[in-house]
Amino acid sequence: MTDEHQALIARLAAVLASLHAMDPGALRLCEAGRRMLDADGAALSVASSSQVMVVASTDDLAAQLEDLQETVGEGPSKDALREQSVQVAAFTEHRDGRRSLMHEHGQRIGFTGTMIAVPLRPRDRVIGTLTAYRQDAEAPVDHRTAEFLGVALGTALLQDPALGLTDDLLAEAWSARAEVHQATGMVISQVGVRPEDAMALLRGQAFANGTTLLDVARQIIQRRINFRDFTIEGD
Amino acid sequence: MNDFVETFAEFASALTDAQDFDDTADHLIRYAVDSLGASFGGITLIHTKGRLETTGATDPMVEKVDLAQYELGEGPCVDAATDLRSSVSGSVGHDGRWPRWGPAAEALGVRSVLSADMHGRDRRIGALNLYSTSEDVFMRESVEIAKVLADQSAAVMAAMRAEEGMRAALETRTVIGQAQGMLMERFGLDASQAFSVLRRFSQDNNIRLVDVAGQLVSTRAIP
Repeated sequence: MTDEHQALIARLAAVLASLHAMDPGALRLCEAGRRMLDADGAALSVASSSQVMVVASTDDLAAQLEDLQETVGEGPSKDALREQSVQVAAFTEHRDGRRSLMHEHGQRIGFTGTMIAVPLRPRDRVIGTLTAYRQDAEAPVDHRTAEFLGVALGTALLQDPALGLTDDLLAEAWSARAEVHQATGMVISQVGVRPEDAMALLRGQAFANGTTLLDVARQIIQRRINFRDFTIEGD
Repeated sequence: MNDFVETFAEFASALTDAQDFDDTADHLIRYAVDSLGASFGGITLIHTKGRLETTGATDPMVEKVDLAQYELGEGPCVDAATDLRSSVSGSVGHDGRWPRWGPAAEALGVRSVLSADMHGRDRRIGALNLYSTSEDVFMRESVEIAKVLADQSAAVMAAMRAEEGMRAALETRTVIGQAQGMLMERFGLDASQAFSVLRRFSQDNNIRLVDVAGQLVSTRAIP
C-alpha cells in the first residue's frame, strides 16, 4: 500500500466521520465522494446489464443528469460502466462531438460544466457509478482520487451494512423507477412492441419534449399520453 | 509454515480471479483440501430460516456425511454454520459432542473432521468442512489456517452474494413493473391492482411471480 493510497483512505475516513449524522448511509458515501472530487453535486447509481437506478443524490441536478443519460442513452456514466474507467466530460458552449445528444439536452436543462463519472468496482466487475458534476469546466480532475473512490465506495456499498444497499433504500429508489417500467408495460400493450422498443418510445418522447423519463412515465400512467393513437389528450 | 505462506499467496491471487460465488467456493475448498491434507471437503451454506445446503463437494461422500448432519441436527458443520463454532476432531466415532452423527460418519468411512465457520461482515455464509478417512489428521494449527482461508473467502463471497442479489433484484423488478403496466393498460387497473392480479395468478398456479411477469412480457399474452 502506497503512502498516497493511505493518505486517500485517511481523507475518506475523515470526510465520512464529519458526515456521521447524515442518513441513509449511501447518501453519506455519495456526499463524501462529492467532497473528495471537489464537485458541486453527485449521484450514486447501481446498475445491472440493462438497468440503472439512482440510490442516492446530493441534489436535484445530480439526479437529473443521471436521468438525462437514461433519456438520451449516452453520457459519461454510461461510458464509465461500459469502459470500466473514469470518464471526465466537459459540457461547455462548444459541442462535444462524442456526446452531442447529451450536450444538447444538458444545455436545455441549463447545465454547463464538467461531469466526472467513476465506475464503482469493489472487485473486477463494475456495480454502478458515482457521477459528480462541477459548474466549473476548467479545474483539473484528480484521476487517482477518482479511481480510489471507485474501489472504496463500491466496496462500502456492497459490504458495509451501515453504509450499503439496505432493503429500505433499494425499495425507495425503486419506487420512482417502478413508474418508468409500468409505463413501459403500458406502451407494450398500447402498440404491441417489445420492451426495449417501448423504452425507446418513452425516451424519444422525453427527448422531444425536453423533459425527463419519469415525467413522461407519469403522464402515461395518468393516461394523458397514449402511444396507440399518439394523441396527447388535453392538448 | 513457509509452504503455507506460499500456498496462501497463491490462494489470494486465485481469489482475485474468481468470477462468481461458486467459483470462489471451489477455489477455497480446493486449496483447503490440498494444504491441510484432507481426503475431501465442501462448504455448508446457511440460507434463510437456517436451512443448510452443501455446495462444492469434492466427492459424493461429502454430500452423504453432510446430509446426515442436517437430518440429525448435529455435527461439526451444524455447529460452525449455526453457532459460529469451529471445531476439529481426530476420531469422530468416539467424540462425545456428536453422539449420533459421529458413529454414522464413521460407518461412512470418515475418521477426522475440521469445520471452520464462514461469515462476511454481518452476513453469514456457513462453514468450510474438511474430512479425512484417517484418524488425527487435523491439528489445532490446521483450524487456524482453515479459518484464515475461510475468512478471506467469506468476505469475497458475501460481497458477491450482495452483488448478485442486487443485480437480480433490478432485473426482477423491471419485468414485474412492465407486466404490471401491461395489465394496467389492458384492464384499466392501477399499479397495486395490477400487482394483486399478478400475485394471485402466481399463487393459484404455483409459478414464481417473476416468471409470470416474464412470460407476460415476452409473449405479450395474458396467461
